[in-house]
Amino acid sequence: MTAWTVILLAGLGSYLFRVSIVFAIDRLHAPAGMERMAGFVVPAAFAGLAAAALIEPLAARGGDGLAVGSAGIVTLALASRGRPPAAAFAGGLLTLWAVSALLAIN
Amino acid sequence: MTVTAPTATDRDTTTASFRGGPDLLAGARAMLPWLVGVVPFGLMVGITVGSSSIDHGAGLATGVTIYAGSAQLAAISLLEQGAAPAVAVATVLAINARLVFYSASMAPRWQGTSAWFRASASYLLIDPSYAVGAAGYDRHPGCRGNRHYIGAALVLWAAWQLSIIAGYLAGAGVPEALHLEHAIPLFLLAELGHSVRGRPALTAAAVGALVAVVGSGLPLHAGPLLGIAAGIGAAGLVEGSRP
Repeated sequence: MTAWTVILLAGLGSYLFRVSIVFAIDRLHAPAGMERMAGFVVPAAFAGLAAAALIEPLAARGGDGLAVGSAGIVTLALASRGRPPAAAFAGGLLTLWAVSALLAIN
Repeated sequence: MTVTAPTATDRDTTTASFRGGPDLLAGARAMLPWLVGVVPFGLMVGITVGSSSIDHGAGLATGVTIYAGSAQLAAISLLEQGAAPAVAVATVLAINARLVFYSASMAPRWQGTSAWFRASASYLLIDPSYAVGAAGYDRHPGCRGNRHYIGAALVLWAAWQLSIIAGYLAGAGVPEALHLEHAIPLFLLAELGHSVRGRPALTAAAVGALVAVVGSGLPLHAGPLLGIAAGIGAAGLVEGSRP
């Protein structure tokens, strides 16, 4: 199997995930409360994805964990105080760069 | 050549075709803040393609076919390491299995629309387009919400493809010290901190993160998927127990 085959099959499978319930709903009755539960998809998905992506550098020994941890804390603190997400992200990224630079000097 | 003045029917058709413009533009504008996290991540995907030994055309095509950053990176890195093709496909699908949750959430909103719309809108479904689209439907259900979603999703798709190409062309010119690999997780944290309010949603986030971390050692990147399912379930329990 070539790289192209892998990428086309993976793309087809991903598209089937995207389209699955959208078309199946015509034939299936949506379970009661599905719309209510849909409101929890974003918090659960974003927290799960962010945690899974950040745990590796956080668990790593050395400066990377400290830099990523500081950036995450600053991002969450700014966002939960009502800053727009883009501003909170910028604050987190600047923190990541600053802490990484300081650790590289020492 | 004879030029005729537009008839009343022509004018009505023209007006109708532009009626959705403001909603499309509002969706596109709502997506712009997301691009500060999406573009750096796209650059990093492009840089990874450029530095890999796999067919660069195939690596760049992941943006169009797989259209999900972490799954694209996993596919490129597994192919680069010489993993079995079946393992690469299975890993991408495991990472993207969360898209079924987004599909389930959008399905009732798109019920009754044309098959063409549902097929196209589904292709564009990914974390940022889902978040911006769902917020748009909360304000404007129905057709206006559909146009808002499409406006946002098209901007995201174009920005993603362009940033991958830009990263590929810039290659080693982008310093590693920028840590672009952390851009998307940090932006997801920013969205979470900004929008999650109330006990059920906080429970969804806390349980989702905890289970994803505990399951981070599981094969096929199953941790996030389990985290999402557990987070949704826990939030439902908390909401159901409220008086």
